[in-house]
Amino acid sequence: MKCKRCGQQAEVELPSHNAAFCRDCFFVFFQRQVEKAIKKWQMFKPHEHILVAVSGGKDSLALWDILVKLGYRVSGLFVDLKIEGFSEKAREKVEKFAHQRQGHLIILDLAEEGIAIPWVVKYTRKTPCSICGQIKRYYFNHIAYKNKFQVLATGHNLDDEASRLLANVLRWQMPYLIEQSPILPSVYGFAKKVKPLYRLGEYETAAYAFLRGIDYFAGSCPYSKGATFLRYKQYMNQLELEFPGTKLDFYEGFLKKIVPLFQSSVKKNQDLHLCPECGYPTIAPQCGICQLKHKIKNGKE
Amino acid sequence: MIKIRFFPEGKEIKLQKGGQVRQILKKLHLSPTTALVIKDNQLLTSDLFIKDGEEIEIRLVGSKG
Repeated sequence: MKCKRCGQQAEVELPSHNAAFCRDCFFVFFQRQVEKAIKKWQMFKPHEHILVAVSGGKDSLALWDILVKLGYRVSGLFVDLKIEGFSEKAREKVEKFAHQRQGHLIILDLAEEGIAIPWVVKYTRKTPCSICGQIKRYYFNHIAYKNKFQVLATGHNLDDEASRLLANVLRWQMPYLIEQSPILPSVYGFAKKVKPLYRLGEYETAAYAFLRGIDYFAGSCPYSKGATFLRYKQYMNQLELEFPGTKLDFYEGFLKKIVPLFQSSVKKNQDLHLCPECGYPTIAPQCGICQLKHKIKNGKE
Repeated sequence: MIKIRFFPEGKEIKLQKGGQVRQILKKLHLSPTTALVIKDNQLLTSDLFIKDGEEIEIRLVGSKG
């Protein structure tokens, strides 16, 4: 198979784009997809300081790499979940990546915060994946806002977004559908959030990470076994195999045709106030994370 | 015979015969866009052939959470 751009032997085959690329031309393709996403959604300006949430996986490290390559000022944030046999390996990869590239890395230790994931699972009845997501979002936002980063970037890719959209559409989860976008503006105590990899699938981010020599963590979380989001990804992959380009058409179609219809439904955050304990925006008297911390503390005593 | 090593588990299997990457992936119940196929630090497209005696690495690309 030959590279679509230069005719050399291809390394990366992309049926969804009806193309194949050699290593160098794939880097050009990858960079253009990220630049297109940033420009189209006005994600950030050249002088802005970006906080990238990194897990140690291929997507977030690829995102950090490409943003630096594009000349942006970037810091990394790793939230150490304290899951035994998992978090320490992920952390090692992130620290190695930051050290090799002399990147600025912030590490937040959930045990020091009194909310390590194994404690949450033990002392509350919450589903691990959903509560872990909530805790991470809280700290991503809190650190970004507190440290005055202009924007928080996450490594969500096309597979994440298309499978999430499928799950939300199948259950008509309107509040989630309204908020599903590659960009969420900064409002009342929440940092601006962006997803610059939303046009690139997992195959593309994995290929980019491999070809750039990024040593990423590919282990699975012991709590994520049987998680429903993995099933939705499998269903999307089956569709993509039969109809290449389905994921991108599905998600881009949603952004272009459906999201504009939601404009009048977007909540204006009028019910939000700041948590008296930590200062995080919430609609409850106390934010969910402070409530969780108290539950864990009480459970331990 | 070809040797296949899976990343990151390190598990190894052997197939009796070489063949086209697409066919090898099919035998393993994988599609070309769900796994990277690597030989000598290069990614292989699905039309290429793996000869007897060669070794490849397969990396599943899906995040496992």
